Parts: sequence; C-alpha cells; structure tokens
Amino acid sequence: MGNAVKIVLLLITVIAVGTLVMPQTASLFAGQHWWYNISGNGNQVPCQKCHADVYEELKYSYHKNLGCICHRANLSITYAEVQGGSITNYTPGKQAHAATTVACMLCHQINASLNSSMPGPFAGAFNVTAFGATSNFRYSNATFNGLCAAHNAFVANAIKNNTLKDSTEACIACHMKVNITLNFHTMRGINIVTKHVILGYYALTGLNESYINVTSNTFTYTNVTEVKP
Amino acid sequence: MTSKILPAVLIGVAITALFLLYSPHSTSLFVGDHTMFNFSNNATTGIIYVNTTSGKTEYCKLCHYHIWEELYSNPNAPHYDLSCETCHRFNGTGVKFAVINTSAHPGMQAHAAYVPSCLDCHGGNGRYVRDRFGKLVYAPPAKVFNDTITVNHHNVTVIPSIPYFAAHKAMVAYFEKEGDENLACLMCHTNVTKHMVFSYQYNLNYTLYDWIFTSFAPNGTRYANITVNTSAIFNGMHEFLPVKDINCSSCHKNIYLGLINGTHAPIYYAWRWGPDNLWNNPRYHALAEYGLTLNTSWINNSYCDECHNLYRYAEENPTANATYDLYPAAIEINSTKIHCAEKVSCLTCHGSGKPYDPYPVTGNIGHEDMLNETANYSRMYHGDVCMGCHEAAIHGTASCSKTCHAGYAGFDIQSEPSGVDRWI
Repeated sequence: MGNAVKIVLLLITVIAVGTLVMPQTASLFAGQHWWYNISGNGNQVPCQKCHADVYEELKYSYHKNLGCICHRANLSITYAEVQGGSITNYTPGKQAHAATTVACMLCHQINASLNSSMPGPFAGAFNVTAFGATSNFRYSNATFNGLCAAHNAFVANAIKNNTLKDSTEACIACHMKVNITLNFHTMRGINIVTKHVILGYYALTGLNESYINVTSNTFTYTNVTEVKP
Repeated sequence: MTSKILPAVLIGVAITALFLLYSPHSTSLFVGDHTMFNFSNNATTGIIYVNTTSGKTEYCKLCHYHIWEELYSNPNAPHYDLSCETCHRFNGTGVKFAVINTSAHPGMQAHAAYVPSCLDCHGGNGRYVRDRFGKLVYAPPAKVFNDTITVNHHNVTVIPSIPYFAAHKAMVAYFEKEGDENLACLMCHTNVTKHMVFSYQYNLNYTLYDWIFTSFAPNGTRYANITVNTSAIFNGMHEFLPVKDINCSSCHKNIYLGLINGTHAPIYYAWRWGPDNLWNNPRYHALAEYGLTLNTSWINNSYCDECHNLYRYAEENPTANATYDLYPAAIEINSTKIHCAEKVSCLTCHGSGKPYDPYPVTGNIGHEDMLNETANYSRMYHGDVCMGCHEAAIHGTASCSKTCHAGYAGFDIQSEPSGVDRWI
C-alpha cells in the first residue's frame, strides 16, 4: 500500500471520529448560555471583562478599593439590582440598567452623601458661578467659597464642555495620569498709554502739581503649549 | 513564491486572532483617566510631589513647565529660591487650600492654588515665607505701596493711599483700580514685554525780562513710543529681574536720550560756567564737558538716583555723600520713604528754602523770584524752564549780546528726547 493511500485512510478515520463526537449544533459564541449568578451581595458581573484597561489602571490607583462602584453611586438613579439571594427579589433599573457615567463631583461635592452612595472628601473649593458655569453639584457655599481658586476658570469651562460629565475633564487633568496637551493663550506683554495731567496748586508741596496718568492699557498674548506626561 | 506567502499570511492571521482575543473589549475615553496621582506633600517645604513614569517630580511643573523654567532661569533672580507653592499656596492671607496627607482636607477659599497679590508678601511690614529648601526667608515690604488691606481673603487687595511723592503712583493706582495691581509690579520687576506711550508737550517757549516771565507757552504734543521686549524664550511674567537689572532707561528711553541730547538735567557743563558749582564742588549733575564725548554708560540707575533716589545714592556713594552732604537733603525731601523713585522737579532740591537753594550762596534775589514764579507753573514744566539757561549749549556757544545778563532771555525748549534749546 502506497503512502498516499495510507494518508487518505487516516484522514477519513479522523473525520469519521470527529463527526461522531462533535455536537450536532453549536452556539454562535462559546459560553453565551453561561449566566453569572448575580443574586449575591455586591457586584458579581465582572466589569473588567470588557473594561480590562480601566481595571488595570484602577488597580494601582487611589481608588483601588472602590472597584467600579462609582458608576452605580448616583442616588437619584435606580439601577437594576437583584437583592437577597433570590432572583425573584429584584429591582429593574429605571434611569439606567447596569451603570452610568459619573462626574467626579457627584462624590466630591459638599455633603456628597445627599447624592452619592459613596461620598468622598469634598474637593473644596471652587467658585464656578463667577465664570458663568452652572452645575448640578455643590462646588461652594458661604464657608467654602472658592473665590480665590486659581483654576476656577478651568473648572468652569470644563463644566461647559460636554466631553465628560460636569467638570470631570478638569479633575482628571490634574489628578489622573492622563496625558494632556495644554495650549495656553497667555499674556506676554503689557501696553499702557499715558497722558501728562496738570492737577493745579497742591498745598502740601506748594507747587502746581502734575503727574503722568495711565489712561488705558491692553495686553499682547502668545500661545504656549505644555505637554503633561 | 506561494510557499513563502502562505506561511506569512497564516502567521498574520494568528497574530490578529491573538490580539482580538486578549485586547480589551472596550477602552476608556482617555488612557490614564482612572489612574490617580498619589500626592506627597513635603512637610518642610510645602512642595507637592507626584510620581510619574520618569520618577518623582514637582506637581505644578507637569502642566506649567514653561513657567517653572522661567522662574528658575536665573540663579541671581529674586524668587529663584522659592517654589510654586511659596507664592501660590501662601498661607499668610487666610486662604485655606486643599491638602491631602494622612487624610483629606478640603480647601475653603481655593483648591490647589490661588493667584496671589505681590503685596500679600510685600505689603505691610513684609512677611517671612518658606523657600523651596525649607528655610524661612524675608519678603521685604514694597515701601510706599505696602499700605494694603486685603478684603475678605478674596484676593482683593486695596492700597488705601499712595503718597504724592511716589514715582509710579499713578501706574500702581491705575492697575489697582483695574483689579490687578500685580501688573504694576510686573512692569518693572519682570521681563514681561512692555510698550508705553508717553505724551507731553512738544516744546515750551518762554521769555523773561529782568527775571520776570513775560510769556510762557507750552505747545503741541509729543508722543514717546517705547517698547521693552522680553526674551524670545520666555513670556517674562515669572522671569523676575535682579534689582540691579531693572534699568530705568529701558522704560524711560525718552529721558535717557534727552539726557544725551542735553535736556532733562544739566548733564553737561560748559567752559563759561566751569566744572564747579556754586558751593565750590564738582557739578553734581554733570557727567561731561559740553562738546566732548559723553560716556553714555554713565547714564545709569545710579545717575537717576542722584535725583530720584537721593538716599540710595548717598548710601552707595559715600564720597559723594560727604562732598554734597546728601543725607540731610535726602531726609528733608522724601527720599527715605520711597520704593524706588521719588517724583521730583528741580525745585524739590533747588527751590526757595530747599536743601540746595542757590540764593543763600548767590544772593541773587531775581533768580530766587524766578524760581518762586516757576513753582506757579505746572511741575511738568519746571525742568524745561531751568534747562532754558542751564543746558550747557546755551552758555557754551551762544553770544552774550542779548542774554539774561542784558535783562532779556527767551527760550524754545523742546521736550525729551530732543535736546533742542533755542534762543528766541
């Protein structure tokens, strides 16, 4: 018997065995009928299955003990939930099912426990109203007025920007190891116009006084790019 | 050919399959947006550090590197020894900043930083601040401008009064009224680009007969456009200048050129009057004989100080102090009370009854009357009136056939930077 005939017979055997033991039908995705048991306390759905990058970041972060709870912390939102070990005791989500995107200020505003199930320290203090921003979160009050904060405009304009919730862009810019390119349009020059003014007789000096008065000023600007590593 | 392509395709398919298997199924919007900095506050210096991939670094520097670079560009500059936190987290105003150490403390008036007023440290009697090495250093008061009130810790600083004799009073008051008196400080103390337009009379014509004014007419407007450029590298706002590098002539170039051209002060002496003054000392304001080359490097801050900061000049020039007995004069005028320059006219020292009144020496009552009459004209014209006669050019070359000595004098004095002083 030649080698070619042997190989053909071997293949026929393998195919025959394979046809015998393999399922008659296959689901489209392996595991797609394997449910997580979510009847226990806490979160049994592994968020990191889909958000592995976030999980890896969070693991080494200041918030490492929080897990993903921030995204289910909003007390004004009813999330889908199964309680008490029984799938019959469940609450369907109203405004959201599994999670919501979250603003840092939800948990870091004044009296955050009124709005968050995971209240953190108050990120005092900013005053964003002076820069025309309105927010659902409490940035300041009479005691924590934030009137002197250097980054008020930054935070206020982050609120106005809709990329992330509320001022989260500003929070992550400073507090997170996120790479940022900052384009500062910054003052580089001061221009003043003066005029000599005659005041008249001044008893203290006994002179007809005059002085150089500044009548107007403008600024010149330049663009400076900073790259935060 | 096929035998080479097929394995390559199979390997590519395998790599793609592995990538798809192990790559995250979704990604966050910004890489790193769930990785927080851990802050470490240095308890001694107050500097906040964070760890990055390149190691431990100053926190502010991450976003404000150019400012950091400016601040530390000159080892001789003021504030070279300070940190960002020294000024922007200064704790002497009552502003409470957010702090994370063993626990978190929210800020009250500010979170990470505030925009300080220069006078927060340099107002009042000055303040001790912590430098970047942890040492307490003294921030001296900006005399004259240091009488400040900070309102409700809201970073609103009010200067209740600036005395009339302070040069730059109007500038500081203007920027204070505009809401940021720091800009006045930046003008002189940093390398920020400055552009100034000064306007004043184009010329002054006056005539005298027997020391009595018979006409007096300022005319027209002269504009002096002066630009002082910062370096190409920096914006200049945090590039503080060593005090010795604050050059009066940079912003007052019209005055500098006026001096070279023979006006503003009697910088030249002429053969008719000789090198000595009425008190038999070398002429105080003179740097050269008229007609000879003037060493312009002598027109420097020290020369300006001769009139505008007499006390400092006396301190720095003991020989001149002894020769001209400057201390009593410095105290009599307001030189000991100023920040950098006193607003003076010739009459401040040479007016009737003033420290260097010429009358007791000359006995010339006509000249004294003229000085008193000059005082009735606006201060801005005093120097021009004096320079009508005292500009060396007049006495260096003019004919005396119809001079003051014959009872009549008439001059057309052009303002700085011109040196034109014509007989009319």
